[in-house]
Amino acid sequence: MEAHADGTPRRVNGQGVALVREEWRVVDRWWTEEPVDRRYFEVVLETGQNVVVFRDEERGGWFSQRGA
Amino acid sequence: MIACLTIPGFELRAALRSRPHLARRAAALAPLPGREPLLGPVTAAAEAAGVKPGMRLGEALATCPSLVLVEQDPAGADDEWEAIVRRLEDSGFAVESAGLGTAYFQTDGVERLYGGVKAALQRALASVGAGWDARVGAARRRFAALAAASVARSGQVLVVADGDDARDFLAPLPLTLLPLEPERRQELEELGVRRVGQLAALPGAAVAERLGRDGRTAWNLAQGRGPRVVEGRRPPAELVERLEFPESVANELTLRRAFAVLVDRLLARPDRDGRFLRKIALVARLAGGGSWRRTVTLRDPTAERDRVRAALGPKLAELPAPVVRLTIEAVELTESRGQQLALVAPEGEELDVRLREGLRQARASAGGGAVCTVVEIAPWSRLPEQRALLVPKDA
Repeated sequence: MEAHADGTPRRVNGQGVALVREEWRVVDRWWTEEPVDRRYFEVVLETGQNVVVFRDEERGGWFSQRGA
Repeated sequence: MIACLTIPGFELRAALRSRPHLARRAAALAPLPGREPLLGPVTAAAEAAGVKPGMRLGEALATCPSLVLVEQDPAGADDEWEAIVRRLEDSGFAVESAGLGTAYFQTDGVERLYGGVKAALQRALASVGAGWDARVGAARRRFAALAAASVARSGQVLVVADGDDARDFLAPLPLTLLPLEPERRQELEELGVRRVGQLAALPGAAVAERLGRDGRTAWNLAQGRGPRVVEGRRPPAELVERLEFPESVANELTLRRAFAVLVDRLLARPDRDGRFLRKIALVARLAGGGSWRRTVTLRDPTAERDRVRAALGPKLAELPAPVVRLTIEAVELTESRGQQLALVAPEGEELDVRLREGLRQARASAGGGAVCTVVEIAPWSRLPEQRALLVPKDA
């Protein structure tokens, strides 16, 4: 996973990102021991594949999300 | 008569066969790497210095700083035990092995040959060989025989008569002889029950109610009841293939290739005679002098190379050290030489039965919680991992 200076993804699983279709943020469960703070991106890779990735702002690190 | 032959601390004795000078020093069997650091059996000198089997490693070394830790040699211990069982079988006993260092056999068939029970038992002791400190107990029931062997001295034969004599013999013995969970035993001890006789004196129904089925079984044994049958084993197959490496190997690729060659060689053995493998073992002699062994029982016996590789191959990743010798053993072979295939693919109820059986086997091999159901709890959640839960399905 590689990202631009502004935090948007540049490469996902070795594939270049052709287009960032959508970006959104999820902040939830902040009242619990396991708060959630994620910056989501729905991107189209150079191969044409559509993937959803997010950066976990609480623990650090990038994840890809499967499932709707 | 049922006889029980025991060799206390067998794994330690087996490991000390190649280092006999340690037998007189304070030594103990080291825990396996990655397991809880608890000592195995200890030598008499170690016991005299205050070290006990099952003690924590740190505590034992603090108690006796000169304690020598003997590396476990599971494959060597298996070989030694197999040799002992075979010597017993050569003397005419049909042996049921109950783990390393404990074997049961019946004397009925050989009493006339050797001239009585005691003479037959002496013969069994002699066939074990010197240096093992074996002892034999005999009784009408398996448990009484085990109890007699546990209290017999090294080289002694102890015969317990049936009926009241057996109960009287068992009464003063400690509860540790009974097959009880440690928690159950502790519960009994807290109630003041410390001897087999005290348990036997309690009402059976009350014991069953308080301690469950295990408690009821233990109570029956304490009463001098229990099984009086010994099932002599079938002689094991002698199909073994091994590869010696010129120098120790830790490279996974090399080990995998060696393993593949061994599987091919084993399956090509003419004395396999078309029979399928039911149980196979992978054994390694490690560079440090220890050994390693993994055994796999195949759900469906097979002689297919790929299935044997798939079953045993992943075990190579568990090797704890570089290897100087790799061995594959066909521990058990089937009698049959063919396999009945299904003509019609299963469906409906039959498929359900098979699925349930498959799940049961998965649970049995991987433990509780291995089979789960996905339960939807918050399908509207923005976080996919919060939409459903995995709930163990144990029924």
